[in-house]
Amino acid sequence: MTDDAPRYRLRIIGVISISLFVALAARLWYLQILNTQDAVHTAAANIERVVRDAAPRGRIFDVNGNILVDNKVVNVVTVDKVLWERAYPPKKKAAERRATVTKLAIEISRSGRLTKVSDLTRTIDNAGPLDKVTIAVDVDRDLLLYIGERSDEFPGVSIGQALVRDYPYGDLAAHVLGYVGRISGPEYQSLRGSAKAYGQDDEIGKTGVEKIFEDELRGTPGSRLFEVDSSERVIREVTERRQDPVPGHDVWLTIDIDLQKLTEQELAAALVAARAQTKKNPDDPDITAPAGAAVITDPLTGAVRAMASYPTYSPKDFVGGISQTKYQALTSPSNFNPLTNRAVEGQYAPGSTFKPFTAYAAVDGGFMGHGRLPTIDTLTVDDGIFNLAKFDKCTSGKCEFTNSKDGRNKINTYKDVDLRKSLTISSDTYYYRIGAEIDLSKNDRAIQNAAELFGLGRVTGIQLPGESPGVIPDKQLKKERHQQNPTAFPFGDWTTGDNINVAVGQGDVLVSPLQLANAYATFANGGHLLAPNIATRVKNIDGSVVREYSPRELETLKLNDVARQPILEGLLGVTSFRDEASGDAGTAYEAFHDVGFDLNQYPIAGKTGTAQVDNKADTAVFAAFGPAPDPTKPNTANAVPRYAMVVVLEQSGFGGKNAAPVAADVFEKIFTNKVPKVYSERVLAACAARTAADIAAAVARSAAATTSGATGGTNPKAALGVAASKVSGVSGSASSSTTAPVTSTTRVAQLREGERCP
Amino acid sequence: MTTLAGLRPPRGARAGSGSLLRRVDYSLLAVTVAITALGLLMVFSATRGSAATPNHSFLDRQMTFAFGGVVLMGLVMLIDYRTLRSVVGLAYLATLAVLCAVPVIGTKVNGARAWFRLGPFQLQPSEFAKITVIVALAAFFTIDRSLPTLRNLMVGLGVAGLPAAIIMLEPDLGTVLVYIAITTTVFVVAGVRPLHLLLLGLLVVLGTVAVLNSGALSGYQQNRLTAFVDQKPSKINLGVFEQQQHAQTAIGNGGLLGQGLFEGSQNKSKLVSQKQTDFIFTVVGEELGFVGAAVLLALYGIMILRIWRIGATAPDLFGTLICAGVLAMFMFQIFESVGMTSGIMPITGIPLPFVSYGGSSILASFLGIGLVESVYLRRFV
Repeated sequence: MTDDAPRYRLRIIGVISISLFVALAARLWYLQILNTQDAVHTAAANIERVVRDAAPRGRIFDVNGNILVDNKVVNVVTVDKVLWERAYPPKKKAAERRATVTKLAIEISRSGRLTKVSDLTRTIDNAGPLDKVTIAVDVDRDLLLYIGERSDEFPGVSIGQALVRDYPYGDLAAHVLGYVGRISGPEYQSLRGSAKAYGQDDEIGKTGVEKIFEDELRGTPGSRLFEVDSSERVIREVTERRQDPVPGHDVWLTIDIDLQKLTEQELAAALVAARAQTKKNPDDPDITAPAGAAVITDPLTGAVRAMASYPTYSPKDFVGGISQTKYQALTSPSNFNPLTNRAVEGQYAPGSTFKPFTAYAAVDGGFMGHGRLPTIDTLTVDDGIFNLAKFDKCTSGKCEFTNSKDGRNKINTYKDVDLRKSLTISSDTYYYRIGAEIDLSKNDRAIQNAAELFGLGRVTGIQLPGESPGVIPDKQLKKERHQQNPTAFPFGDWTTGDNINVAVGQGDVLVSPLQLANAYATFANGGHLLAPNIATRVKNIDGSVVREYSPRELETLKLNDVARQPILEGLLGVTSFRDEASGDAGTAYEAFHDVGFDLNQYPIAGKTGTAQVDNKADTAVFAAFGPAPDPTKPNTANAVPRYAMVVVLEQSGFGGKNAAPVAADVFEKIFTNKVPKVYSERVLAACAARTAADIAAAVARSAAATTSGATGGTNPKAALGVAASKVSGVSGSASSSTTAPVTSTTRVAQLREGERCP
Repeated sequence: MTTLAGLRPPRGARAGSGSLLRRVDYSLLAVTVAITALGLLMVFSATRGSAATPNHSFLDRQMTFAFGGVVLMGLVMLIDYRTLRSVVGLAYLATLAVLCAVPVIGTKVNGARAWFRLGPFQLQPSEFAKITVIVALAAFFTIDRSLPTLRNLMVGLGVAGLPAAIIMLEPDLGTVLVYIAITTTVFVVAGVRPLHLLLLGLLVVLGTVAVLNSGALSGYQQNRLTAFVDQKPSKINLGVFEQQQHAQTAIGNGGLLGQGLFEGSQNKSKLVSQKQTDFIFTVVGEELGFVGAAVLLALYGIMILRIWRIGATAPDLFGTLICAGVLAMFMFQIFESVGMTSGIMPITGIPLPFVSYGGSSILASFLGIGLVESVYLRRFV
């Protein structure tokens, strides 16, 4: 070879080759050494799929162990938004999308869950782009079959199973229990770091016990890790990284479901009855009795035994998401906000039920028998009118205050009124005088102080959300309100008239029914101010007690017996006193004198209230406790009050006439042991099925008896035909069940151990 | 005997004459066999599946081809490469004929009609045509020593361009690129004037633009290019982009030491498509890590070095040019195949020599090594 040039030129190729190898090595160094962490993460994300395993929520029990809120597995229809949007691009296929939504709405409605097209559209559209939206819950098997067999007609629509809340006692105690709903954006944000991690589709307690005990009730979701291939097929489960879900804790309530139902029924019945009243004057506001509340607590422990609010709602409506239309109806003021728990959230003028606290202030403050006030035992004449100008001087505001009027529109007057009788017959002028005298004294906040002593004007601390603190107005508050909003509160100066109004529970005094019950309970138990409890304990799924709620005593009041005793006697008179000569009677005598329990054995101390509300019919109020020791009945000397009860009926008229009978009926059932037992819907269904089966069997037996007598003429072919149709029916249902994606959950209810039919 | 400056004479040079066997470049054979063995392992890993009993069918076929390749290589080694000069014209015409037949009666795989069905096997004539073109180009530039004229340049271009044009119609862009690499390298080594080379470069650029705009490139080829140039997904190239990302993730997932043989999670999840053929390097990178990939590259490096030195010490220009062509073929395929999986080159369908699953590629690659060995064996004659 003479020509070396090609070999020199080959060097160029060698150099290029070396640089290409260097480039590859450098790239691999970058990918596999420098950047490997990112790649490892991406690689894991590429193939690992975490599936959250929802944990069942804890159950809610009543005091006797009846399950008030349970969980059940139901069939749900969901829409996968990704597939849905792919099948129906918003601009191109709006018509097809609408047609499918309409078809879905029709089919879901046909299966028993009335669904509006507009609601369904909104539900689907409002969901996130990657969501699986639940559009129907607890649907029957026909719908599952219908959709399952037409998957191409309903792109992205699938059928699955979900664990949802179940309410064996229907709507009972709805306000106490509350409802669960899908977690909201703000809730999700605020709970991000919580131990029981929330998913964006998770349910969360929205109101009532469900909300307050969310941390206990919520289970800890588990997770399962799967490795998938490029077609999202599962290759294997990474079992070592599996976390099993932990069910939430069970919450046991103080509520007695039997008493709860009775209370709810009595409350509703009283409101219905109140609506039947006729007005005394055509100018009076209509008695519409639209709403009310009733609450029963145990004065010794603070346990809430029953809590009713009217109108009520069905927590079932929230299972699987409530429709916009329904939710609007439930929160509409024109429907009187059925979602509001009036027993704790409602604020009402207590009216005359406030008088015991005024009386306590007057006696304890040493006002009785001093100045212009009579002693406790002095018999005074109540001529029905209190004139402030004559009593002292009237510089501003209202000067003449009168008693309520009787049925003939005549101002009530009474003779021989001492402190006891002032409560029994509810003399207003007696308390107007006290209000005026205290206001003009140095200790001019004595009434407010006494009210606050018994827990009025602040939240009770019950474990329920949205509690109202109530209002006990005084000089300070009036001034502040005026300064903050002069338009709404044009007057800032406290007048004696203001204090007179406070003395009878009017003039901006507001209390919640629970507060009032708790104040009476405090009076009843001798001064133990307790925070009412709605729950007794929290239990683990294995039955071990996680937490117990013992009575929470906020304060031990040293009640002045000189004051307490005559007040108690006055309150006992409310239900039992009647003087044949004068015709004077306790304001709740009518309601209690013919009750079905022995009032001598179970004396009831109570107080009626008929609170005035601007431009509306009066609020009927009744507060009571019992059994109370009655000094006139020696056998009751050791009676310990176990029930404190408050009934409030909005726009319903007299407290004694409308509210007191509710308490009388409930006390009657309690003290005669006749609170009707409530059966869960499952037990009722099981018993109905059993009865139906019994009847069917009986019918079959009798039919067999008749046909056997007349078999001679029966066509054997016809008998065969019947048998054949039965067989085909059976095989038909068997074949359809194999195509069904899930087995039907509508099984025949069964009685569990220890359960009996009514 | 002159050698390149700074290079010691190749092994065995001092041995003078001897049996043919003693003169074989065993280091080249050794690395080739080593790479092939590693390749078989990788093909098995990529195709064994996740079932309880691994799938052997791909491995068995590939082993058959590898064995066939070794035999073919041995046969070629026996032939004195210089005798090829007399038959290359005929072989070239035959190759053209076969290539022309492919679009008509071939079977379509991955968008390209480039295969012949031959009993249980599919043959890809364009793989073998590479070898024919290398020999043809080498022969052409050694027949006529009136180089470097523009006319000769154009003829040489025609020799390589004709089969390339036919392959372009299959369409198989990757193989065409190999032809370009081979042609350019042979031209450079043959001594084409820099000016002509520049003109040629311009022509290639113009041609590329023309091809891109003419629509001759099929949709997926354009997507591959745009996905590489843009480095971000768009509606049309999403699949290509994902493939690119998944390939890099798999390689990166290997880290320094790799996930272990048969343990690559991305491999098992089939995230990278064509992972036993063009994307086999993702399996190497993921399961054997940087160390394994570096070992493979080092083996390739030794292979390229040996070919280069055999070319440099070849007894004649024909041998040098053959070696240059084979070197270019392997070098480009290695760079493109590893480069596209690791994200520094756009995706084109090119097998990794001796590693990717595919009979034609294996056979053609062994043919190439056989040619180089044949040159080496006749270095003293």
